[in-house]
Amino acid sequence: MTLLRAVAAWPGPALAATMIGAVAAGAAAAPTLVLAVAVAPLLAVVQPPRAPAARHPITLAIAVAVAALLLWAHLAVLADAAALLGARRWHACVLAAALALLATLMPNADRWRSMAVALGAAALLLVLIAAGAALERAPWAAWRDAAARPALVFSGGSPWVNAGEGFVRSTTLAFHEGHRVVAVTPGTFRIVETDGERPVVRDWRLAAGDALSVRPGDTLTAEPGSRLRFEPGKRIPGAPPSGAAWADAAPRASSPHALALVVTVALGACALVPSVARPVSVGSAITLAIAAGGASWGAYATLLAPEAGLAGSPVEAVLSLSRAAALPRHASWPAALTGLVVIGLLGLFVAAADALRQPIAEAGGTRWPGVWSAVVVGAAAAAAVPSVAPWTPLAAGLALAGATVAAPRLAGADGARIASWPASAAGGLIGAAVFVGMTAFGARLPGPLAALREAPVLAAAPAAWLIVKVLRRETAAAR
Amino acid sequence: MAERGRRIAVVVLVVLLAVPPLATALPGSPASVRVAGITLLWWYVACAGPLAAVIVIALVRAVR
Repeated sequence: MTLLRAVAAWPGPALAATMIGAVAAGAAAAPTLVLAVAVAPLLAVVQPPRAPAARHPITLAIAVAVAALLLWAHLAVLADAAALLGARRWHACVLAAALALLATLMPNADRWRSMAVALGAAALLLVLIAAGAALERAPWAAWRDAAARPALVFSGGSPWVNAGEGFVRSTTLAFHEGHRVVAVTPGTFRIVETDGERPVVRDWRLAAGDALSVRPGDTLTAEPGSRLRFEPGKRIPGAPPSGAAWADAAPRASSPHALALVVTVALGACALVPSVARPVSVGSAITLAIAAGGASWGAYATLLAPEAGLAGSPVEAVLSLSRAAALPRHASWPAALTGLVVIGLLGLFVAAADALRQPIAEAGGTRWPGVWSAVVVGAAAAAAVPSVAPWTPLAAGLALAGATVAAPRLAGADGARIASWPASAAGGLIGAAVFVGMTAFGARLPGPLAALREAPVLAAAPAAWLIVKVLRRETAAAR
Repeated sequence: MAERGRRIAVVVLVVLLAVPPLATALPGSPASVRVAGITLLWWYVACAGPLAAVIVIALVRAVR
């Protein structure tokens, strides 16, 4: 795999959509995430060239678990996009999984895989340029204008106001002013009223066209597949109240959470992006493109569609740029931009799948095609279920990769052994055990240690690193 | 020399990555100061930080 493909494949559709969604929503962690996604691959690139993954059942199991979690996240983003565009989730999962299997199992398809990355990146770049041209603003001007908005409200042209939009997964909206929402399709909605000291829970079964009045302070929970219509000019529930609040959310982020995010992404990159011994100008250019592109896309998205994210998926912000095509004086064909976004996401997905296949091929020996196919099919089945947001398997996959692959490697596991095991397998096993233990029982830990449940990599990676560092013995060949 | 350069690059990249989380903890919120309408934090994240990382990598490669 070339460096261009390795670095370009790193974010994949899941990390790219999460990053853009976070910027558009004004999430406190957005700047940290953008910088980590952009710079972390360079941290991996400067590592010494690594040995191929050891052929050991533990190494193979770790590669399978990491690939399954990350493919699940990538496919969930594609399935969310399909749901938002009116298709069925499983259609997108089957199509994308078939494409990934075709591109990764077909012999002599190396050129096609490189083309997939180039095509995906070019399509997304084209959409970004088209949105900038339609808005007649450079990204920094879009950011400045977005930060100057007095309030984040539903515009008259928003699909949430006109035909109504559907929720991708169960979503709870917090209202800061009174709203009258209309059910577009029949559904059950839970309203929690905070009148007085005790919250009052009411479940409303609405038919198509029925309206529901919500008061300030109430929350509304919508089930996946249900559709709602909002009033134009009203504040967007759950969004920052104003442009200034959107712009100033990041400097108020919690430092421990941001540091945990940096560690998760950086170690994930060290595990997934290969190091190289030759010039890295292409990788550097991609780093700059990820940072500038992600921030620009998010700024354009929040200006065009401040309600992007209401549906419960970060991919709504990615797709929202196609609305630029419908702006007055630039009326063109929004479907063309939507198509380009979908091509871009599919291209990134094929590249990411190819990168995830590599460790399974190294550790699995001759049986890797069967194992890889099972991983893709399993991930597609999991992604077809809408209840889990892409961030959950994405964060778990990056953290597991960091704790079980990157940490032992940073401790010098390549070519070393612990007793009769390859050191990478022994360190990976310890990292995986601590990771699973922290995830399952972290909440029972006392005081501040309970926070490790949110970022188990902070305990699992040092454990794996320490075991390898203390117990490893160089093999004769390595010496 | 190559190993030393690599270690320096790793340390500098880690410091660059740690700037946003640490900047939010500083008193007076210097990260939210606006320059040309955009907060310093976003200038750093979208431009200065990645550019500095790329320059560090280029310097380390050139020294090798």
